[in-house]
Amino acid sequence: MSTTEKPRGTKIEKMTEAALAAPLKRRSFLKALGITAAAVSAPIGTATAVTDKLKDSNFWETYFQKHYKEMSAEDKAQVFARIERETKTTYGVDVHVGDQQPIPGVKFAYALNLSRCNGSRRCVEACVIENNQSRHEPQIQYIKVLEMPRGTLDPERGDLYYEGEAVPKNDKFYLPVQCNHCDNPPCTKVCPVEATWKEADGIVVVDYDWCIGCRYCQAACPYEARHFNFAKPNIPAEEINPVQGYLSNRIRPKGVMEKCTFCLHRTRNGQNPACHDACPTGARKFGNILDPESELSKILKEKRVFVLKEELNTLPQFFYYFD
Amino acid sequence: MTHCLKIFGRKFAIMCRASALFALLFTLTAQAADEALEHCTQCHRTFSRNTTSLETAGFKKDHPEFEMQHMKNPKGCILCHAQSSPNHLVALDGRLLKVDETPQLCGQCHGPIFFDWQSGLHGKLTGKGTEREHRLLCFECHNPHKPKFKIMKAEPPPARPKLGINTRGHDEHN
Amino acid sequence: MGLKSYAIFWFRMITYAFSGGRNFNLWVWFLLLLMAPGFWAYYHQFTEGLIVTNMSDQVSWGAYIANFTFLVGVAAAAVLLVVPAYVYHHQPTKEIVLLGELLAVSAIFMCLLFIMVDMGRPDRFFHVLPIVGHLNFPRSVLAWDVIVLNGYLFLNAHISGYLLYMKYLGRTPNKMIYMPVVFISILWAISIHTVTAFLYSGLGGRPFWNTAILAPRFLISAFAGGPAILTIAFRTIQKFSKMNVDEKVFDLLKQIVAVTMPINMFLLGCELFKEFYTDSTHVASAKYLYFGLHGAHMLQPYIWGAITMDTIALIIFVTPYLRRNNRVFLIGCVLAIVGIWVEKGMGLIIPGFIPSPLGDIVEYIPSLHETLICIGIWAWGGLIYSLLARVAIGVLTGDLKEKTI
Repeated sequence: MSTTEKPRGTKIEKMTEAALAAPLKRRSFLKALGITAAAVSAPIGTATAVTDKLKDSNFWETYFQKHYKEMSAEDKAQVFARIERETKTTYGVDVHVGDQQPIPGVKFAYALNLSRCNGSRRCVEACVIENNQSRHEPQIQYIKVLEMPRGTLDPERGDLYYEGEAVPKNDKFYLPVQCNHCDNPPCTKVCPVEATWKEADGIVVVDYDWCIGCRYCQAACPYEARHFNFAKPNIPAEEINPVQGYLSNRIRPKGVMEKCTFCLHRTRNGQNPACHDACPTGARKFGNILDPESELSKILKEKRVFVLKEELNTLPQFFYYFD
Repeated sequence: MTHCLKIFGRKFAIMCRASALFALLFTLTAQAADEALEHCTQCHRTFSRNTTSLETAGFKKDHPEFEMQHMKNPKGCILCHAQSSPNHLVALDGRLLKVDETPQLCGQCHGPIFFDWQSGLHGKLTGKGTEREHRLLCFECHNPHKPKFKIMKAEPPPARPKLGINTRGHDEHN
Repeated sequence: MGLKSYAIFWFRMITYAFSGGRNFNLWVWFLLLLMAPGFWAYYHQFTEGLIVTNMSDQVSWGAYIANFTFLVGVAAAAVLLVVPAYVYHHQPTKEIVLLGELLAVSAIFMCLLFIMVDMGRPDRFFHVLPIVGHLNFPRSVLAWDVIVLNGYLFLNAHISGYLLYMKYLGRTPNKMIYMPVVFISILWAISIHTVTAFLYSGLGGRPFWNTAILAPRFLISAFAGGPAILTIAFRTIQKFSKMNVDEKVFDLLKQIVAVTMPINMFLLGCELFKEFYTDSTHVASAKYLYFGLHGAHMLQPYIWGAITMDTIALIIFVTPYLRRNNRVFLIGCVLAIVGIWVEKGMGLIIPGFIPSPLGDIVEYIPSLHETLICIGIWAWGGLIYSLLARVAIGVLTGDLKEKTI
């Protein structure tokens, strides 16, 4: 490779030479000191934050924690004990973290009667309390109720922020949307670390201690069902639900995704999700789609059900119908 | 709620709250099934008059909270209430029905809903899995004289976003 | 040869990098000054969480990913020098191709930084590593992106490192060691930007992105903006260093943009036609971007500004009379870079989220913390490139060579 000596950029150099030639030794020294201080203090601040975190033994346990699917029973016991310990230290509340397994022969699905929903948002409220969601900054709500005008199912025409002094309003109907636990979920496809997956009983879960917070699943979900902990969750200690599941409502750390889990800490124990029990009009139906005698199967057989955004082929397990 | 909290713990308290919300819907006939009509017999041996008018002498005085908003042209009380037996209801073919057979009465006109109710598709079933508590009867959610579901106040809307047209103070543009 | 000589090479490179004379030191200090507020802002973000940004559940990616997307394109554009240099043996390009590859290295470095600051749990970044963590390959396109980006970094670092070291030693490089890697890197450059485009275009729930034309648009805008950046970089190098960049290199870059910029605008036109002529409900995002939606119009001035800049740049690039004038061409380059940066960054990422899948309109503009962090990362990348280029120029001009005793 041949190179030739080239005259330097003389103009700029001359100017700089002139500017700096002046006797400003002390000022430039102070300037340099100031810049160094600024440049060094911020990294020191970050370093302090990092070292504080490193001194916390719980942090190290989380750091080396394996993916949920690769944990042994002892690993899990250790992890649950750590979570219970952390909750006790942070909130002063005794909780129990369980690891409910899917029941064989069960696949959960949900049906919602849109003729009965009156937009009371009791389901939203019950879900927030049941699942220990952050109340503000950020406010996380797994269920979104849209107030829809008649004649359309286009969510863009719906209103999420409706005030309800008296619901239902005459010319509107109400469309609650939450995670559909799709059979072909776009969210589990895109997660780079497989922190989210579909369990044997159909529930799509998140391993909150494995999630790296890249939010790709949130971009992929067509139903706005995934929620991100932009900050440490704000939960009043007296409202914490102590019956917790590792994959469902244990208190999540900052910087990870969360979503509706069909209350698996309840439903895998034979109960219904909190939203189902809170609905004042009985619009919500939950059950085992593999059981021909369940309400779910009867609804799918007798009612004319539909799903949202069917053309995306996500195969949602959340069915809507009008009565 | 706080009472429940102290004695039974949070889980029960949440259930209490859910049930209390549900109970809000119970109207003046929110009683146990077997007691629903018993109080009629405290004053009536029979229902002497068939009437469609609430202006009948004494009715308003003795039943001050009564409201009738069922059917466009009410056909009179004895359409449903057995004239000869105040603590029974009566079907269209004259059969006397006990209070816990109320769904059969309502089902005479509300057929599809009755069938749904029988399969568990209408109304709400609480309880664990396949074991259910007793299926709620019609009047346990609906006031039979004013059955349309109560208008209620919705829980507050979600927090507004930081940026854009839907922040607090903006009108909706939909 | 041997490890000792290599270690000495590194030591000498580092000392040479920081002994650049007054101008260069001023530049380095200026960049450090720009980085400092970024560190301060990141400290906040690391401790408080991403709530210091203006991202939300509805707009889950913002300035960080927008800059990331643009910089992947810059990295891919290095191939525009690699192909003429190594495949067509274009001598003037051969002399400076290393500087282009080092630009790719710096761009990938910035990309990785942008990903790190965007993650909710950067302390868990090792979860994406194949054996230590759990990489969802091949299902997740993001897993592919992790592999191709780091692979590209490694490829370019290998080529530039090897060639520089050989030049430093005064030896002829062994073609077997670097030529296969060069050919792989040519294909790999195309793949990095295609995979990044696939991140977006594979999502059915985001109709604004779910279009086959997205990957071609990404590549073409990279090949239109890339030469512009290379022109500015090389003009700077020509002016402030001993390195001579042959005018033929600039001619080549001019020829490239004269083709790629019109294609870039054409593909944009295709996208606009499909959106606005079809006029389905999916047009909402494009409507928001260009004309505002239900009163929300935060991005309108930016996109129209970008299109104006792109158009002026296009006119400059295709008109021979204007293109020939180096000063005018430089202005065109600046306009093209800014225009494409806006169009690809804010003009592509943000509208994909507006309206949300359930029709919610939540807008976005970077917060103070985000802006400071972005500036800091750009400065850091600039610093890395400045240091790398200085060392490379030193080696290429013979200023830095092995001292034989």
